Amino acid sequence: MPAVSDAVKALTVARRQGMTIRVAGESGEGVITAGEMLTWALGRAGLWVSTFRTYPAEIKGGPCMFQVRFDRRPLDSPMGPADVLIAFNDEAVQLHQSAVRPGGVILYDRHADGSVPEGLRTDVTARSVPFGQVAVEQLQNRLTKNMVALGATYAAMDLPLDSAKQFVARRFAAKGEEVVSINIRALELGHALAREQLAGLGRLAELSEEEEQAAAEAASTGKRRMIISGNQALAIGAIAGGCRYYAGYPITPASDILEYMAAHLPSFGGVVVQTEDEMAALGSVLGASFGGVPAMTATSGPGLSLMVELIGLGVMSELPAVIVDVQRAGPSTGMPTKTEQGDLNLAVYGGHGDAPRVVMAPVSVRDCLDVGRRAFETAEAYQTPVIVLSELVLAQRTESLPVPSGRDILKRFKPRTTADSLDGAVNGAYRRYRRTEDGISLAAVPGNPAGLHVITGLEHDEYGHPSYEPDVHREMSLKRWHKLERLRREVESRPDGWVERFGPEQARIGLVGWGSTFGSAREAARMAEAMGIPVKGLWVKLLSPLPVQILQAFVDGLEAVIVPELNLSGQFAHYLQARGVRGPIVQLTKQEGLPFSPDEVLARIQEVASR
Amino acid sequence: MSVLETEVLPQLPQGVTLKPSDYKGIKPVWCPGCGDYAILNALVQVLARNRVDPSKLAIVSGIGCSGRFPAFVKSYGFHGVHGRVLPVATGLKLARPDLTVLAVGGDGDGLAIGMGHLPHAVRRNVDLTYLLFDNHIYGLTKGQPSPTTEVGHKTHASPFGVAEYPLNPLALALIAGATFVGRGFSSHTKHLADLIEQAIRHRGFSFVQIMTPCVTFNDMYKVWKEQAYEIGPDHDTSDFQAALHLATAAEGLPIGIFYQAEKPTYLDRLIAGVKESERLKEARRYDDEADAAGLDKLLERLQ
Repeated sequence: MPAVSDAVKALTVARRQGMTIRVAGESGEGVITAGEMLTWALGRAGLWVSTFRTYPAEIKGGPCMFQVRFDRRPLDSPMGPADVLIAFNDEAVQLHQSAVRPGGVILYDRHADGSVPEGLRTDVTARSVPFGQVAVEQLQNRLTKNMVALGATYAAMDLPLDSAKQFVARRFAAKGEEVVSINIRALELGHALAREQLAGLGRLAELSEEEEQAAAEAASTGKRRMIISGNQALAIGAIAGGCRYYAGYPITPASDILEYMAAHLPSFGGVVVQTEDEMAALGSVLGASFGGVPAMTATSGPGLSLMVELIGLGVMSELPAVIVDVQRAGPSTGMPTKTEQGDLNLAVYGGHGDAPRVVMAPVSVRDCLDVGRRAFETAEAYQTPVIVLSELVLAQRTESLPVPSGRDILKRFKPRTTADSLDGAVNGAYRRYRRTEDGISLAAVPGNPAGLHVITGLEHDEYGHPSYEPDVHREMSLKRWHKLERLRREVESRPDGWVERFGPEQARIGLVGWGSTFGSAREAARMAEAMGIPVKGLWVKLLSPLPVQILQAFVDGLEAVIVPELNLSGQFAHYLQARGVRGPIVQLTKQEGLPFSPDEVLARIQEVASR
Repeated sequence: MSVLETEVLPQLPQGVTLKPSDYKGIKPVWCPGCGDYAILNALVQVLARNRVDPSKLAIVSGIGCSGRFPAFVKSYGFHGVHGRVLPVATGLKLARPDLTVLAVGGDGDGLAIGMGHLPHAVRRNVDLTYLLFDNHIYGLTKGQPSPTTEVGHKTHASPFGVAEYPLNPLALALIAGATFVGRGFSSHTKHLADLIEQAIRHRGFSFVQIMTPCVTFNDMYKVWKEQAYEIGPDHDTSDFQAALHLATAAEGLPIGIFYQAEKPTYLDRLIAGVKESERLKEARRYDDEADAAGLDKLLERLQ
């Protein structure tokens, strides 16, 4: 294996300001594999990486795209103009060339007659390489087109081909020696083909000798990085937080969590079930939780709709449960492969009766790791369902992150109550729903002789016996609300980890939001600041109960509060107002199934600033 | 305790015994004469004679007259929502294989709203016992027809007579692959108690249909008493075809065990399929050293 520092040196030369590479083609042409290979190679060389992909809902056919952004400093978002576009066909050129910055590079598959794709931009460096022809004629395997193209890209960018070869060896190992070697040959052919005419096209700027050295050292002295997706991070966070039962029904874009748990939870002593539907998934999670075992399910919008009945049961029976909703676009089945922040209302309010529940939202892939763990901590501590609102763009985006140690992320809830600590629990005197100041009662689990009780979705008294008395319903409703009030107060007094802030304190323009919009917003704020417009931001990770005091303190004194969100109706902006946050709110909504680019947020900032 | 060696009926400490009445919880609220009283009595007899530890017993129910059952038994109980009894019971048993888990539900609860869950609970063969209280009517919602109500039966919701044909729950359970299928009748209480005991002792998913007349909306006492007979010793309970025949073609109302087979359970299969299954087997869920090492391994794979 070549020395890591050599690879890093080659990579970091010219990578000073970071780059964005977009691979585009037809689904089935190997776009995603090529993108993942770039991601892995760049991440392994010590660069920070963030990716974004779009793909059709169909298994074969339809355009797809994989974008890799990398830099020497941590990235907020994978979005932004591409420096290099690798187009596997003409349609990909037409669909994606507008995403290339002026002066950028487009590599496209050569036409047999030497013509150029229709409408090809002239303000970019466009070069044709016979990806397809080489794959078919020299390798007798058209499936290797993506590797030929990738080899050419490595040549254009002066990237060391060894990292790509390592990836191929690892990724295709299970498919046999022949598959590995033909893919490696494809890489080499593509690289050789393009080396002379394309070398250095992707170069941005030279590094100083000092910088080169620093980069090489950073990568070789154990600052290890991993490439991780939001779904993987949530699953690992959940396991670290104590999850030992998982049930789910397949649905895009949450299925990765089911698959990841199925592969890994049993070796932690946990059980995984693919259920017949989403009601069964959450029902079984509540059953496991009643047994004292922390449990989770993950779904997407349509599945969350079905689960609403069981969320009410979890709230009423006061059972901990973690429900991940990886949001996708639209009502009904909508757009399964597109992103949106449209489930806030459902998560916070969904269901009949007053059913207070906790709703959390991670802001980045890194944050998914923490939120996965924290969701279990919160569910157990407050004995209530916790809904985690993730999003397609967080779930499927990969980022390079420093590798934590297992011990560092391992943090478990306190186990539910044992016989000795049950309050006055002799001969059936145990009160599962004993009223306390903060609404939290001692919870016994089966096996505890002192804690026999029956839980029910019916309104009940302190013992769990069904009761329809007016006083009981009022008091028990208050009990359930009080738990959330306690959580809100706790978070407001110790907001560490529950909010993300950025920008200068004295800024007069603010950004407030939740979820994945964080990255683009923070980047937009940096761009605005560079233009002389100071902007500060506050992203809350706890949506229910909403930390209103923190939000109000942030908003107070601002001239404008821009609320970017990926839905048309402005669900979060309305929610803020409904919870009593008062201020000059300016909505910024988008409903295209795509995330914000930093430019889009910047445009609204400029507009507000020029008023 | 190993998952594989879970006790079927976890017992009280040596020397401790409880009377059947000691297993009763709060006073039942069923209509006087309801068949469900007899089911309750049959169950508490089974619990007493097996010295079952109430703290290791969990009864899960749905909604309806049967739904109140857990409150009437002194044990752990989960009175859930309509039709979801089997998912809840499945999660509880898989998470806590050391518990004896009983699922109880009615014909409306389990064969209408909950029907989608039945074949899947069956095919997982989780080691739990499902008692389906069948009175051929919706009792708690005051007499609407259920999926087992006879054709032509007139109710307020079917003033011209029920137009649908009834489901056959035993045949459904058999076809889905249940490893224990039986039928009892509340009026044959001793027989019912024995049947419930065998169902609980069976390792795998046990399906028991219990005929329990509703005196208020569908009084079938007379008809069922005339029709009911105990399945004779000549019936081979390992013969699937014979069981299906008995469930579909037999005259009258045969009661007893229709079919019984030994098959690996869901957990058996999971343990067999997982290379590092030691922790699953031992049901040793939390171990800081092992968990930290396991997490390191997951993180290693991402590099």
